[in-house]
Amino acid sequence: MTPEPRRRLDILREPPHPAYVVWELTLACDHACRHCGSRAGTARASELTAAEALEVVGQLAAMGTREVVLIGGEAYLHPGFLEVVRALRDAGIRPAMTTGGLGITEKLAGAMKDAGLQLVSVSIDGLQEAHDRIRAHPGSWRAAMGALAVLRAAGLPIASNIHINRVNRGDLEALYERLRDAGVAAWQVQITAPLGRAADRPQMLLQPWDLLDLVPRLAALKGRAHADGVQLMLGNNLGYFGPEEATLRSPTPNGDEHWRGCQAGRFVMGIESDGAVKGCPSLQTASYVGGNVRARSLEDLWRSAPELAFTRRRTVDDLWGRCAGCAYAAVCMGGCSFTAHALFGRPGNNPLCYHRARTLRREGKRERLVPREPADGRPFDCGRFDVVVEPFDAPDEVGDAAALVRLGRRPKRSERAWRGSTA
Amino acid sequence: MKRCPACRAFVPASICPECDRPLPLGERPGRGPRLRALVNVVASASAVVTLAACYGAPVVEPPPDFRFCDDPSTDFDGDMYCGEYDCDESDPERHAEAFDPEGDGLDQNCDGADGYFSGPDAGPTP
Repeated sequence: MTPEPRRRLDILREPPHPAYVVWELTLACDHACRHCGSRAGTARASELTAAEALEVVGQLAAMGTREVVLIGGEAYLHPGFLEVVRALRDAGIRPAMTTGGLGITEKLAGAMKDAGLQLVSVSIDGLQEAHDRIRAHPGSWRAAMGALAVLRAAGLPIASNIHINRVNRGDLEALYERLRDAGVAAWQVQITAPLGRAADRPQMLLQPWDLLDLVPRLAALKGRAHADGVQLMLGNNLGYFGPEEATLRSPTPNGDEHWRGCQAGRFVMGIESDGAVKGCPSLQTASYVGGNVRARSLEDLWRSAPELAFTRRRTVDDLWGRCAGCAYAAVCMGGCSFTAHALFGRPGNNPLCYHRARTLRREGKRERLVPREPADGRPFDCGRFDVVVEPFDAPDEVGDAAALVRLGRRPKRSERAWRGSTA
Repeated sequence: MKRCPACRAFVPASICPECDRPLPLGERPGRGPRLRALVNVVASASAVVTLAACYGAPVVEPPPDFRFCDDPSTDFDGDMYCGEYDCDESDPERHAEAFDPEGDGLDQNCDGADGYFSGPDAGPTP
């Protein structure tokens, strides 16, 4: 696949539009991961049919969408999965996919390739023990690594992605080597945010000062990745600034790029499997769904739903806490919106920030996230945390991997209870 | 944003937020409105690509980064800079965006001075 020269410049000549769409095709899943933000497993009550999904493809094409990443749950469990991939390709939209890989067979990989899928990223959350614990599925890691091989043999470009937390943070360097040897072209790293099932396991999550160790290690890995021909990319909730920012945020070794704020609702859109539309796929459903494609067109939702437009309208006055007084306030705008919202119920203040942790360390302090309220128990829900400032050398007890993935606090209602309700 | 010559962090104003050092008096030459707009546009698009990558659409093969070279066939040293942005097409370490530490006697960033030239009309010189 030959990259289009100046692809990024072409996009930005146009006004904000959903150039990149992440589409949860179904919430049905063959995993029940302990950190799943969407609490995937069972399909939603009224997911879009294949016919409805094809209609959405047409609308995306009309709006100038360039790429769609199909996710779940597990996208291949939707009966119209291959049809949607084919339709995206035929509409001139580049179809990609993120998958846990458990059900990727040679036959399916070949069918995906034939349908026109152009990229597959397999989620691998550490080495075998950490991954299988996080995914609550013995054998999952072996299946995921096997999926990489099967997809590569089918002629599909492969990549991998990881959510970094206290269970798997020690595996990064060794995992990178396994992925490099497996032939991934790219590795995307982000942190586990307290969304969905991860909100039920606060002990699993990184504390802000954990970034002080993590970010320099990632910068070192990025240097290796450049030499190895692997594109190591930071997800948008991992950062921000510090001396390593240009190294980590630039796709080329001597690049000068940096975090420029949440792009939800500017050139990105998220679609849930029942047709709900958000500015970013990870944003909390309860606060950020602008409407449903069954009731309104995507064009109408994009233009007029305030829930999709919040990044287009906000200013530094919307920042609060330490972010309001930060030197990087105007450009950073509080980092990742869904991650900040997952902590405090609103964006604009984000303690999971490398620059912030570095600044506090120079003062001999650090911030600790303390869980206060549990999450609801619904997809893309979150609880509430308090931030406590403590001495940098305050004690920190970290349990073993089994303790870290254990249920730390029960959601207000069980997932099963929510599925049985009409709320 | 400017970069701190000491720690390489981005500096939104005049004092580095990471190491508290003031930027040197010899600031980087002004890039001009066209170049600044171009840099901002491409950098914003990079953020978009990164977000897409959050859900597995990585940049499998990074596109050639010819932001500062209208005619890549003239980029003889392969550093992605040419014309007015590259004063030495025999050296890939010299171009308008190169890090130019003061005191080594070299003009890596093509502004006509060792370090960062602070003149009002500073710019790349062939």
